[in-house]
Amino acid sequence: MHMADALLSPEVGASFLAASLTALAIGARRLQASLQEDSQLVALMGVLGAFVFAAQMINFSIPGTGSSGHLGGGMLLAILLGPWAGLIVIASVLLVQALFFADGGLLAWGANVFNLGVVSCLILYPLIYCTLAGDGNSRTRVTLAAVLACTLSTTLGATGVALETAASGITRLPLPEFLTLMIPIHLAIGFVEGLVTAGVLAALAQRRGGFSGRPLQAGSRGIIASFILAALLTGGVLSWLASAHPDGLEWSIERLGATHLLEEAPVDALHRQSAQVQQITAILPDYELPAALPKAGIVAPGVSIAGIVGSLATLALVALVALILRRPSRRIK
Amino acid sequence: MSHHLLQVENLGFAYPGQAPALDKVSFTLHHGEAVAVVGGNGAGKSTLLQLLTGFLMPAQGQIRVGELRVERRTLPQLRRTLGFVFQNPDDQLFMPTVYEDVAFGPLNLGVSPQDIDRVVIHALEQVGAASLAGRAPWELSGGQKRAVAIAGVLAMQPDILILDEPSDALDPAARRRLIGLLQRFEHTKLIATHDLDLVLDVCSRVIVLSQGRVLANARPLELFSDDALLAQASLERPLSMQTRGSIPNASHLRPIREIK
Amino acid sequence: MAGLAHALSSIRRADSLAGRSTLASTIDARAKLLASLWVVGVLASFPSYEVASLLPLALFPVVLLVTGEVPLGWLCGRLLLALPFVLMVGMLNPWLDPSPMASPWGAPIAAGWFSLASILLRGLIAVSSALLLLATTGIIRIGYAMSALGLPAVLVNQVLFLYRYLFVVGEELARTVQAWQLRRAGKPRHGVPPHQLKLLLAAVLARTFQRAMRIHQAMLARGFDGQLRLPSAPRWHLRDTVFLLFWIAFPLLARLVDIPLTLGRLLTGA
Ligand SMILES: Nc1ncnc2c1ncn2[C@@H]1O[C@H](COP(=O)(O)OP(=O)(O)OP(=O)(O)O)[C@@H](O)[C@H]1O
Ligand SMILES: [Mg+2]
Repeated sequence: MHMADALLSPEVGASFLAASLTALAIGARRLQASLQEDSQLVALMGVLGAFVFAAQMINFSIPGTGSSGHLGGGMLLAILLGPWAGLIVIASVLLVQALFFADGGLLAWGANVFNLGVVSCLILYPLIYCTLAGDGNSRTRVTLAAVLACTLSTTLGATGVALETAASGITRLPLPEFLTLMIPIHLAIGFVEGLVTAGVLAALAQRRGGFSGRPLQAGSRGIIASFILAALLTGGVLSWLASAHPDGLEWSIERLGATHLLEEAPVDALHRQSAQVQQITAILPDYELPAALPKAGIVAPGVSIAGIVGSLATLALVALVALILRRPSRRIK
Repeated sequence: MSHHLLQVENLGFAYPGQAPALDKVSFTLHHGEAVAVVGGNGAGKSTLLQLLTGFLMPAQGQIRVGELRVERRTLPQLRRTLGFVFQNPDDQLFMPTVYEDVAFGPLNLGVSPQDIDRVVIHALEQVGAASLAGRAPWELSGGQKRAVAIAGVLAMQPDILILDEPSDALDPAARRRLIGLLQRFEHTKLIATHDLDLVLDVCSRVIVLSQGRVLANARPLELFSDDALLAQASLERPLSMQTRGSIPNASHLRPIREIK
Repeated sequence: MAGLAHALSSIRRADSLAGRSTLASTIDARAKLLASLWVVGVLASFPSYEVASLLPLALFPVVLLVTGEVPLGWLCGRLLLALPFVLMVGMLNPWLDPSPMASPWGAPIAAGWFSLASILLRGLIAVSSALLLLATTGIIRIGYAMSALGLPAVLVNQVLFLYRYLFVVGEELARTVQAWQLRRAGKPRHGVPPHQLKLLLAAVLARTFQRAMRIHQAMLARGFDGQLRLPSAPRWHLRDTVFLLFWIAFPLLARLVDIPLTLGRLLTGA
C-alpha cells in the first residue's frame, strides 16, 4: 500500500523524505566502499530491482479469502543483497512506480521508502530475519523467519501509511478505523509473501548449492540499531500527533490559527504543544485567517458566491493560458 | 614489441567436476590478423574466449598479450587491449541509452568528459549507428544492438577485437552489413563462430576446436575443402562452397515446384 | 499475466512521449524536478478544507500538458488508475465530519465534503504533475537531474539500471507466467496460487542471477572498477532559471493570497 501525495501534509512528507534520504545516503556510502571489492553487486542490484518490479505486477491469490495481493519484495531483497543494497533497490523501484504509475508520489516517496524499505531492510531484516534464520542452513528456520519478517513488514508498512495519513490530518478517517481497515488484509498478504519468499530462497539454494544470502556486514549493526531507534521514535511521535487530534475539524481549525473559534472548547496541553510543533516545522505560514469569517452558528468558512465565481474565473484563466501556450506549437505544424 | 600480439601456450582448463573443456591449446595471433575459432557445440570456443579475457583463469599453460601475461594483476591493463563483444548484446548494452553505453568504457578508462562526445560519436560512426545515439537499447533491432555493442568496444580503442558468435540471431541483411563492418576494421580480430561463410569473408586463418583440442590451424579455403576434417569437428563446408549434391542425403529432396 | 504485460507497455508509451522534442522537454530536468516537488509541497501545505484556493496550482500540470503536447487521453487514463486509493481513504469524510460549513444558498454543507473535494483536487494536481514531469522529461534525464542535485550515484545508477532491465527481466517473467497459464487448463482464477508463484519466481530469479553475472562481466570487460561515473549534466540556461523562479513564486503567491476568492470579489463586487 503506497502513501499518496494527496493525503500528506508537507511536514510529514518532508520529515520522511529527510529520514529516507539520510538512510539512502548512508547506504550509498557503505555500498560505494563494498562495490570496490565486489563490483558484481551493481549488476545484481539492477536486475533484481527489475525482477522485484516485475514480480510486484503479478497478483497471488490469498488462500481462503478470495482476494489477492502482491509481493512487496523488500525482505527478499534484503536477504539476497544485504540491508543497504536492498534499501536502495526498493527506493529505486518506488521511484519508478511513482513516476510511471503515479503510485505514491514525489513528496510521498520518502514516506514510501520508509514504510516499505527502511522498515523491512533496516529494522525487520536484522532484528527478526537474521535473528531467527541463523546461518540460513535450516530450511524450517528460514521459512519461519521469512514468514514472520514478511508478515510484520507488510503490517508495519500499512500501519505506517495509516499513521502518516492520520498525522497529516488531511483526511478525516480516524486512526483506529483506518488500522482495522488496513491491518487484517496486510497480515494475510504478508503471510503469503513470507511463504513465497521462503520458497524462492529454498529453490535458489537448491540450484546454487547452499546459497543463503549475504551476511550482515559487521559494521552495519550500529547504524542499523540507530535506525531502529529512530523508527521507534518516529512511530511514537506520529502516533502521538495522530492521537493528539482525534477530531479532525478541531485540529484543522487550530492549524488555521483560528483557535478563538473554539474558545468554549477546552484546549488541552497536547493540542497546544502540537500546534507549536507545527508552527516551528511549518514550511509555509498556515496562519492567515480565511477572508470569509464565519456567521453565527457556523464553525468554519465554507463557500460563498464570490468563491464560486472566482473559482470559475480561475479555471477560465488557466484554460486561457493553455490556449495561448498551445498556439505556437500548432502554427509550426 | 613482439610481433605476436596474442600467444596461447599449452592452455588447459576444466570446469569443476567435468572433463577438461580445453586441453593443450596453443596458437598465436599476429598484428592485423583476423582469425576464426570454429567447432561444434561444446567444443570449448566460449571457454577459450573467457580465458583470454580473464573471466576464467587457466589451470595449465599461459596466455600472453604483447608482453603481458593474463593474470589477475594485469587484468585492468589487459582490458584496454582486448575488446570483448559478447554473444548476447542485451548483456552488454546495460546503460539506458546508446550514447551512455558507448561512453561507459572510455569514461572508465579516464577519457575526460570534454573529449567523450567526440570518442562516442566516432565509434558510432564507425559502425554506422550515429543516428541511434539517443535511443534506448531495448528499442533497437538485433542488428542495431550488435552494431552498438561493437561500437561500445571500439570506443575503448582496443588492439584486439574478440567476438563471440557475432552473426548469431541476425537476419541475412544485418549479417551482410556486419561482415562488411568486420572487413573494414583494421584491428586484430579473433572471432568464435558457427558461421563459416562469415569466416570465409572475414578471416585469414581458422582454428578448429574439437572437444577442447586444436584439430587444425589453417587457411579457410584449405580447411573447408578437407571434408574428413570438417566431419570430425562436426562442421560442414560453408554454404557458398557447397554444391547441392554434396549435402548428404539430398537426393530425396525435390524442387518445391515439383512437389506442388 | 495481463497486468505485467500491460505495465510494461504503458512504460513504453510514457517513454515514447518523453522522447519527443517539445517546448516542455527543452526545459532542464533539474528545473522541472524541483518545480514539481515545490508545487506538490505547497499543495500539501494548504489546510484540509481548502478547495477553491487550490485551483491556481492546476496551472502547473496544465502548462506541462500543453507545452509538452501530451495527449489528454493518456493523462486521464493514468489518473483513473492512480486515484482509487486516495478516494477510498477520503470517501467517508462527509460522514465522519458532518460539522456544518457555509454555502451560498444558506443551508450548511457537511465539512467532510470540502475535505473530500480538497483531497481529490490535491490528488489530481499532484498525480498529474508527477506523470507529466515524466512524460516531458523521461526517466533517464530525471535520473541525471537527481544525480546533479546531489543524490548518491549508487541510487541514481540503480534507477537507471532497473529501468534498463525492466523490459528484459519483465518480459522473461511475463513469458514464464504466460506459459504457466497456458498449461493451467484455462481455469479462471484470482491470481497465481502461492506455491506456483514460488516456482515461477524461483525459475526466473535463477535466470536473472545468471544474467547479472554476464552483465557484470560485460562491465568488467569495459574497465569497470566499482566506481560509477555518470556523464555531467547538460548546461543550465536562462530559460531554466526563469521557469524555476516562476514556479517557485507562483505557488507561493497562490498559497498566500486566495486567488479565486480575490478574483470573485473583484468580479462580484462583494
Ligand atoms: N559454466 C559452465 N559450467 C560447467 N561446464 C561448462 C560451463 N560452460 C561450459 N561448460 C562445458 O564446457 C564445455 C565447452 O563449452 P563452451 O561453452 O566453451 O562451448 P562452445 O564451443 O562455446 O559451444 P557453443 O557453440 O554451443 O557455444 C562444454 O562441454 C560445456 O558443457
Ligand atoms: Mg559458445
